[in-house]
Amino acid sequence: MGPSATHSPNPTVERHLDGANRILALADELSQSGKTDALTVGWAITALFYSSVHAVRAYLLARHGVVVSSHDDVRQHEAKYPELKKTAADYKHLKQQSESARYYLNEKFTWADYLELRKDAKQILSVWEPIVKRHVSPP
Amino acid sequence: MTTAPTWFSSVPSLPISIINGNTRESALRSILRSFSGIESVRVLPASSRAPKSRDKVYVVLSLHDVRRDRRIVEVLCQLDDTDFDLVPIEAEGMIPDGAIRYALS
Repeated sequence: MGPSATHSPNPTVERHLDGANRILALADELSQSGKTDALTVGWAITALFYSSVHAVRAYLLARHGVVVSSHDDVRQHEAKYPELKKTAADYKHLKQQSESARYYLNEKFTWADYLELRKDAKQILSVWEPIVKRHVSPP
Repeated sequence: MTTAPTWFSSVPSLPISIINGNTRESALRSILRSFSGIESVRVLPASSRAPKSRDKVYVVLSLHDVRRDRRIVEVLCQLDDTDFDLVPIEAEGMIPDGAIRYALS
């Protein structure tokens, strides 16, 4: 018997949002670790992207009841829900730099790059988190 | 046989600056002319990417600059039916062989 028999296959809105914040915190922990090697910086940048993945998925689930299961899904949803364009460039930039680090093994990233990219991740979270919270806990 | 993407030149040896193109190509050319540290562009046509139905643009970067990359992304985002990757030049060998190379000179 697989795990799907006892667990929901899709995270809830709350879990997505919690994940977004926890992964961002993990990225910051890495940035404050004192390590300067490219692998650590690259995975901190990758964490920034996945924080944003969960922030956007939390929004889509909370606002539209949509479960996103792939990066291609996000592209389709941008066409359907134009408000996503507010953070599209931030999101795609993070995706590119994450892939540059983990897929193309770019070893040139620095913590200065991390701080620049963190602005994108923070922007994405700051746009969607308040809306998600209003849906989860209406006033 | 590889089919050239419809929105790009079918003659890879031509400099991008003299290719007649549509709006999307113009946007891409604008990027390439505006930013330093872009070594070349390679395009994998949709016909080589089944089941995906979009061309994929690989922008090969000779300089590392995330702020410049951000501006490139902003323009490439406007090409709704095109995928793209920013590729450090050291990883150019990872680009699929079928991607047509466009030099910038």
